[in-house]
Amino acid sequence: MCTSNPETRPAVEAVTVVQNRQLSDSVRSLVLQAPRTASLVRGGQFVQLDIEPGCLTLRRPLSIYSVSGDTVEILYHQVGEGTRRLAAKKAGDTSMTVIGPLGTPWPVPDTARTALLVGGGIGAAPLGMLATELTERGVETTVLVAAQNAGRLVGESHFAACGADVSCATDDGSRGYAGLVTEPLIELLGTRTFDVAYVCGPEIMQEKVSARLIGHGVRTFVSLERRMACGIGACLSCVLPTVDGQKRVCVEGPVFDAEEVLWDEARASRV
Amino acid sequence: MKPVPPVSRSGVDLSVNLAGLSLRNPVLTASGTFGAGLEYADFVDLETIGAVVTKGVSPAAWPGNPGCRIVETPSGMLNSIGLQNPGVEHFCSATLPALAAVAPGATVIVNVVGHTAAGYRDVIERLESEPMVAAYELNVSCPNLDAGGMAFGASCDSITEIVSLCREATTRPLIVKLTPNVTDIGEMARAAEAAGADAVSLINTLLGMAIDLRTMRPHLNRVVGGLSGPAIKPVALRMVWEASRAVSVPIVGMGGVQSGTDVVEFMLAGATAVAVGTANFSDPMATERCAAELEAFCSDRGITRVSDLIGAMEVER
Repeated sequence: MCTSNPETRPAVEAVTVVQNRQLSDSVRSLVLQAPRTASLVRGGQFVQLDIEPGCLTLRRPLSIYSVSGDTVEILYHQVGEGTRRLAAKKAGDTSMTVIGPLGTPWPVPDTARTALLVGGGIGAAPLGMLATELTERGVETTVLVAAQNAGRLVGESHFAACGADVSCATDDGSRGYAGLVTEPLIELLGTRTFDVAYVCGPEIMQEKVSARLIGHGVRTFVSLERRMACGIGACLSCVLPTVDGQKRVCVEGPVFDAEEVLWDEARASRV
Repeated sequence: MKPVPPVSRSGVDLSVNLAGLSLRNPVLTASGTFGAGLEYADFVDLETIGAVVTKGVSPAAWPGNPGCRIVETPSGMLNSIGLQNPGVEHFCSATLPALAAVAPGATVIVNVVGHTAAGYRDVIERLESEPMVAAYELNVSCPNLDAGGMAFGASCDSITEIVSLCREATTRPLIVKLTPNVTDIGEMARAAEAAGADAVSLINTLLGMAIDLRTMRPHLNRVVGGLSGPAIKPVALRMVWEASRAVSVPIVGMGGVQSGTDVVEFMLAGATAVAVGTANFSDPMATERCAAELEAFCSDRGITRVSDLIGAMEVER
C-alpha cells in the first residue's frame, strides 16, 4: 500500500539473466541480476516474473531460492508454456522484469532453538533462504528433503552447506530412505523435539506432513501456491480458504500457519 | 476531487467530460482488475488516473466462486472470480476511508453489483452519503436471480428495471456496464439510455472456456468464465462503434486495452473514456503508461485536445 515504505515495498525491477542452466533431469536454475529484489527479499517470498512481455498475458510467480550479492536464484521445472519459454532464456537477456518481493515470508519465532524443514520436490526451493537464516541465527536445523527420485531432489547440498542435519527420502530408493517422507518424519519426531517446522512441496504432502507435526505439538508453517494474475492482492484470483475466511496467497500467504488452512476446501483450487 | 489540471507540458489537453464528470484524462481502470486502487498505490499515483473504477460492491458480502478462478489463454485470460467482495458496509467503513487517506484527490467510480434490481438500488442508497464517490457503474452482467439467473444485461426489460430504480436513488452520474454476450448491443445501450443512464460502458467479458488436459476437466471450477485481454479488443471496438451509433450518451470503451494507441482506437470508435483492465496484471503501471502514450500520440500528430478524437473515425460512405 502507498503508506508503506517506498524503499522496501514491492516494485517493478528490470532484471538481467546471469545464468540459466539445467541442474538435474528436471530441475533448472535461473540466476537473475536484481539488486533491489536481492537486497529486500526474505525467505518464503516470491517474485512475479514477466517471462515474455507482450506475449504471455500473465506473469509467473516464482519463489526465490537464494540470494548472492545483487543476484537472486530461482529453481524451476518446465511445467507449462511460461516455464518452457523461461528455459530458453540466455545469459545476458534483459527483456524481463520482476514485481517483488511479494508475499509473507517464513516467520522465525524468537524463542525457536530447534527447527525442522521438510521439502518435497521443487517445493524445497522456498526453504533455501530460510535454512540460511535459521542456521545463521544459531537455530539447530534439521532438513528432510524428499522427491520421486534422486534426480528430483532439490537443495540437498545447500542445506548441508548451511550446517543443517540433512536426510533424504526418494520414492524409488535411488537416494536416502526408500519411500514417502512420512516414515523418516515419524522416526525423527520420535527421537527429537522441534520448536517449529516449515513444510513445502506438493499440497497433498504438505497436508499429511503438517497433520503429523501438529499431532506432535509442533508449530508448523506451510507454503502454498495458487494461480495468480496480479500477484499484489487486487484481483482475488489466488484465494485460499482458511479458518479466518478467504486469504490471498499473494499477500497473506504464500506462507500460512498449517492449522489455519482448510485443506479439504482448498483441494478444489489446487494447481 | 482535485480540479482538472490545465493543459499538460506537451500542450495537449487530456481532459474529457464524461456525463458531467470532469476527468483529467480519459484513462480509467476496469472494474475487477484494480481492487479499489489501494494495492496499486505502490505503483501508480491514484490521483493522476482519469478515474478509479472499483471492484463490484454488493449489498452484503459475496464469497465468490470456489475452486480455480483463472486460466491464461492466448492473448488473454478467463476468469470466474464470482464477484467476491466484502459488501457495501465494509466498503464504506474500511475501504473508502483507506482510499481517502492515501489518495484524497482520486476520482472514484463505484461499480455496483446485485442479485436483484432492488439490491443495486440499496448499494447506491448506502453510498449516496459518501463524498469520495463521484459516480456509479452498474454491472448488469450479474445473473438476475428473480428471473431464473439470466444476466440482467441480456434483457432490455431487466436493464430498464435496474436503471429506472437506480435513477430514482441518485443524481450522480449513472454508467451502465453492458455485457457483450447479446445479439444486439445497440438495443441494450438504447434501453439503458431510455431508462435514464448518463453513460454506458462496454464491453464486459465474453463468455469462454478452456480444458485442462492433465485432468481432462475444465480449467475453471465453473466451467465457463469471462474472457478478457488483447484477444477481445476487435470485438470490443466493434461494439463500442455500434453503441456509439445507437445512443447519444457518452461511452466508456474497454476490452484488451494495453497501450495509448489502443486508447486512441477506442476514442475514434466513439468512446469518451477508455478503461484498462487485464493489462494491469502484467504492468501495474499500465494506466499511467497508457495516458503518457496517448499524450505522446496527440503531441506527435498535432492534436491539441484529446476530446477531438471522440467518434472521429472516418468511414467511407
